[in-house]
Amino acid sequence: MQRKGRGRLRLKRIVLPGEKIGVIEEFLLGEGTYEEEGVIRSQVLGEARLDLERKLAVVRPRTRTPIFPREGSKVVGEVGEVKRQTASVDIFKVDNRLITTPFTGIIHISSVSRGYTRYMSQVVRSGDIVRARVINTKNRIIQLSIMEPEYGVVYAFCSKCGALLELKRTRLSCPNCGRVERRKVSRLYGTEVLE
Amino acid sequence: MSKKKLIVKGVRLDGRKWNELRPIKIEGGVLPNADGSAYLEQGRNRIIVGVFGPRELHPKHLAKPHKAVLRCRYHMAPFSVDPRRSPAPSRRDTELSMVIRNALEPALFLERYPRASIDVFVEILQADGSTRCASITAASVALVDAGIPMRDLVAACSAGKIDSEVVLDLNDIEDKEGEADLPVAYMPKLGKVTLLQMDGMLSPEEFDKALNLALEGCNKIYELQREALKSRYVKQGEGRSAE
Repeated sequence: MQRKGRGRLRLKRIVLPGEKIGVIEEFLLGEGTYEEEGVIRSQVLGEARLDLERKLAVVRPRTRTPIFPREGSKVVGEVGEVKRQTASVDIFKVDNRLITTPFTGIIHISSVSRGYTRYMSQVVRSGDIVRARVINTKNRIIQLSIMEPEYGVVYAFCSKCGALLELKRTRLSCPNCGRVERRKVSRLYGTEVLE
Repeated sequence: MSKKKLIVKGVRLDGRKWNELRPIKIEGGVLPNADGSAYLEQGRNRIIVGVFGPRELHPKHLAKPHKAVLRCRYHMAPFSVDPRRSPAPSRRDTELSMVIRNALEPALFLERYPRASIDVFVEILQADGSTRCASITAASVALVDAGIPMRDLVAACSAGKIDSEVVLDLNDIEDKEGEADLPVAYMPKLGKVTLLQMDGMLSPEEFDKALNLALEGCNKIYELQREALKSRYVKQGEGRSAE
């Protein structure tokens, strides 16, 4: 019953990269740590936290953290070239953080919807803003999926006059020229904050 | 030979003793547009470093599928020396860029960011000897400021031989008129040397003495890097505490 009274005991201290936090016999390696010759050290400038109950050493960074798309990341980007089976995307937002130099991703026609899609241009158009999920980074280019309902086009533009299309039930219509267009629309159409 | 004496009565031309560093000032986070940055003054050296990334690498054929590419650019401003210097990258600039990259690379976890690039831009605003060491010192502060995971900080310092004596932290005249220059970069917590060059001649005994002196200098510089980072990221009076 000793554990109950003690609760979660934690020690906190500011460390720099390379500073010793403990040894591998004491703790498991958590975020922001690495091991060299049996010694656990910090990778970043931050607060080293030693969880004595879970035997886990982590360093919570105090600095900015690098933005890098990984498998599972939610990204937002502008559609570039749309080919028959693929569309390229300039990713400018990764996990809700804006980035200055874009990463390039690609959507393949097979990860657009569960049904059959004949041409990529039926679901996205050049200039659209899409919300997508990273499904693979192991190939030359970041592969994206817009399969689930929250992914897909969040802002679409009229291919005739360029105005922002409005979502009316399941159709996108142009408030300017009345043209009706089709996209793979996200459940979050029109709500994504871009800046 | 009408050579100028570099040490007069045990004191160097700028008033330092043999084992004394020049006054150093380091500041992190000076460039809002960069992901990480640092400004460094060491004697009359003035250096600014900007770090960008990890970001997508262009042209893509340079990308490595298993790790990030570290790119460094060492550049001296036209007004950094007298007489004016051409702003075009010289052969020396290209080599120093490589030297700085090689000195920083062992400290980074490049395998964490496959196909990406991490770019380090070193701009020498005013040069007064040992700029490669000062650049490495400043660049490693900028890398920490950018939040890029590192094994350790890299501190760099030079030692050398002037008027037949081994001294610490050569300035421009001492470098040019002296007999030898030994720049060293060092990861103090891991005890690993990442750069060791030598220009000129040293006997094995002098080399040992100079190397140990330079490593001592690196340790002192490390403390200053630490201070600079702590003053940016740690509140006053905050240190070790139990939650």
